[in-house]
Amino acid sequence: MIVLDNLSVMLGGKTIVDGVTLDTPAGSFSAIVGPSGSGKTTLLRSLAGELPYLGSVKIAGKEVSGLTASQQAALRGVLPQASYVAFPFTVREVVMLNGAASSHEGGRAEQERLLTELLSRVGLKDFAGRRYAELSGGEMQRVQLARVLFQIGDPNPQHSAKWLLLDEPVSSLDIRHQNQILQLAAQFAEAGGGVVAIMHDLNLTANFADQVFMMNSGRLIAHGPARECMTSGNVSRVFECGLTGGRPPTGDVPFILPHSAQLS
Amino acid sequence: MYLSSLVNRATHWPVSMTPAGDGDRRPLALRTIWFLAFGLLTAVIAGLSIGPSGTGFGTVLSYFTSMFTGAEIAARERIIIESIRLPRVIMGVLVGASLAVSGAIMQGLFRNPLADPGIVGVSAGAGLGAITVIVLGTGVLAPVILPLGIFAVPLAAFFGALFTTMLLYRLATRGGQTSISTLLLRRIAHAAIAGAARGILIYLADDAQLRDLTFWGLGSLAGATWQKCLAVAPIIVLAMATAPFLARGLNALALGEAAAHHAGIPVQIFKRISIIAVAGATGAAVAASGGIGFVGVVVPHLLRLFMGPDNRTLLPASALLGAALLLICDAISRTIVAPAELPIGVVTALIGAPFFLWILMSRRGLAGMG
Repeated sequence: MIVLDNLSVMLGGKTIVDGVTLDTPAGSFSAIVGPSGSGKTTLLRSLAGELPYLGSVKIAGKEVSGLTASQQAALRGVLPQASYVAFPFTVREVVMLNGAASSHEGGRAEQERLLTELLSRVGLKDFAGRRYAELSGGEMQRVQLARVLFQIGDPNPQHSAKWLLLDEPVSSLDIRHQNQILQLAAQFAEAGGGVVAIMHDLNLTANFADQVFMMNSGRLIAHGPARECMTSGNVSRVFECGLTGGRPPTGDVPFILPHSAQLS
Repeated sequence: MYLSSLVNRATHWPVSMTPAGDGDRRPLALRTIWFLAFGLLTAVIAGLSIGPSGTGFGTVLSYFTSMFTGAEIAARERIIIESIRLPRVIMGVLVGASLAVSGAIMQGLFRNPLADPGIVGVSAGAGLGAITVIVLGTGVLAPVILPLGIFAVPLAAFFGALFTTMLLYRLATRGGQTSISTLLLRRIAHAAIAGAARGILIYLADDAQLRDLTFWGLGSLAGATWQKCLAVAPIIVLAMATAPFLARGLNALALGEAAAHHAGIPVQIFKRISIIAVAGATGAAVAASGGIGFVGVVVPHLLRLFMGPDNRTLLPASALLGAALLLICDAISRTIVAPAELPIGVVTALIGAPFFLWILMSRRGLAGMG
């Protein structure tokens, strides 16, 4: 369970996150959506323990600001928007770079097995020996996800959920890999872990997220189960532009289309 | 072209070494460390055996066997080995290892393969600290300096290095990434200030002090004595002992400060410890031997090309190769213009500066930035 209580974050004298209260249970995929500058990334960074904050941020009942870096690393993994790796590491080395940070049971053999499994799950089966710097942007992003998953290990060992914090995990990917990565995140949640992801694409959000939190100007505007929350009214209000929401004839997942005539 | 094809081979070879091409370079790195340890041993024996006096390998061998057999060794040769060559070789090992390891740590910390205590001006800061003590230590600063004894110069160099590193880090780092161009620009400003300070000190210095000061500029192991070894060894050994604990943090830092925090590294504390270790190793090395340049950038760079950038193996390998390389350069400096001696700083600069330029050019070719 992640619980934010009246969370506010100030950066450079400006209030970026303004009194957000929310909670999200383990075993679910929560998406944060909102226009650029609405405070999504800042909210995720305070969850990741990067920023001083007012109010309360609790992961598994523990106040984040009171945990050491390594205690936090044992609770959650973070996938940043873009990752530049200094020095010529191979894909394998990047994935295993922080391997020791988590308390992996089992020795080398177990780590090797996990590496192989994760690379094939992110669709980079034969990439272990490749140089990271020579990959495409999308491949790099998938290597980073594998690295984060390697750090966390089991999503829910001994009924204590691990958390995956993702900052726009699929923005640089093509549609096939977007689906692949979000499915991977959804599986992580199904296996008992928790996922909090900043999402850009509303239709992907509607497809994959269990919970949606809509932000604007640092405030939480609307939230709830994706299927109820993602109405054209809510979305238009949060993004401050005309949008049309609907249901496709083949299912009950909502879709969102821009209403070009009303775009401001 | 030839050079770049050589590098490509060097970078790809380890990858294709393993049958599955699985990118696991640890076996290669461990083999390299063993090989370098053997190489260092060879360099130590060579360093003891080479010199203008004609005391050669045979004498060194009988010197060591005499420890067990109790056989007599001529007093002259005993003195040459015990009082001249042995402290010099030990000093070479200590200084070479410190320079290479502090280069590797600084590159990890600044996330830049060109960051090196010599190039960014940390050695100059250490030199200024040392000069201050040499010139003012018997005068104005005597009450503070005299009780420190033989440790006064290394400590002053350490604080000079520490101050410079902290200043550089604060000034040149934005968002956890350090631009080498910013660093080099800062270096120009620092060099001007340090140059002025050095000018004042030189003006105040007497003849004997002046001779010592010239020595800082060029870098040399010629002044190595047991006493000097003893003075710098504690700081260097301490700094080297922290290196294994820094490896994991430096690896994590390759992804940036935020990612290192995510991976469980207490980033701020970690950076402080790294800076102190770099300042300690650089300060002690400069106090012992003056400004020996380029070891810190050449050694880690070569090793990264050959066996990968994992700091868990890079740091020990750097220590071994740095020490061996400095002993080889010292042997060259002692023999190339014998019976005179070329300062070792000149030798490392002659080898290192073209290498540095080559790295700069190949980086420009690859990434379009320096």
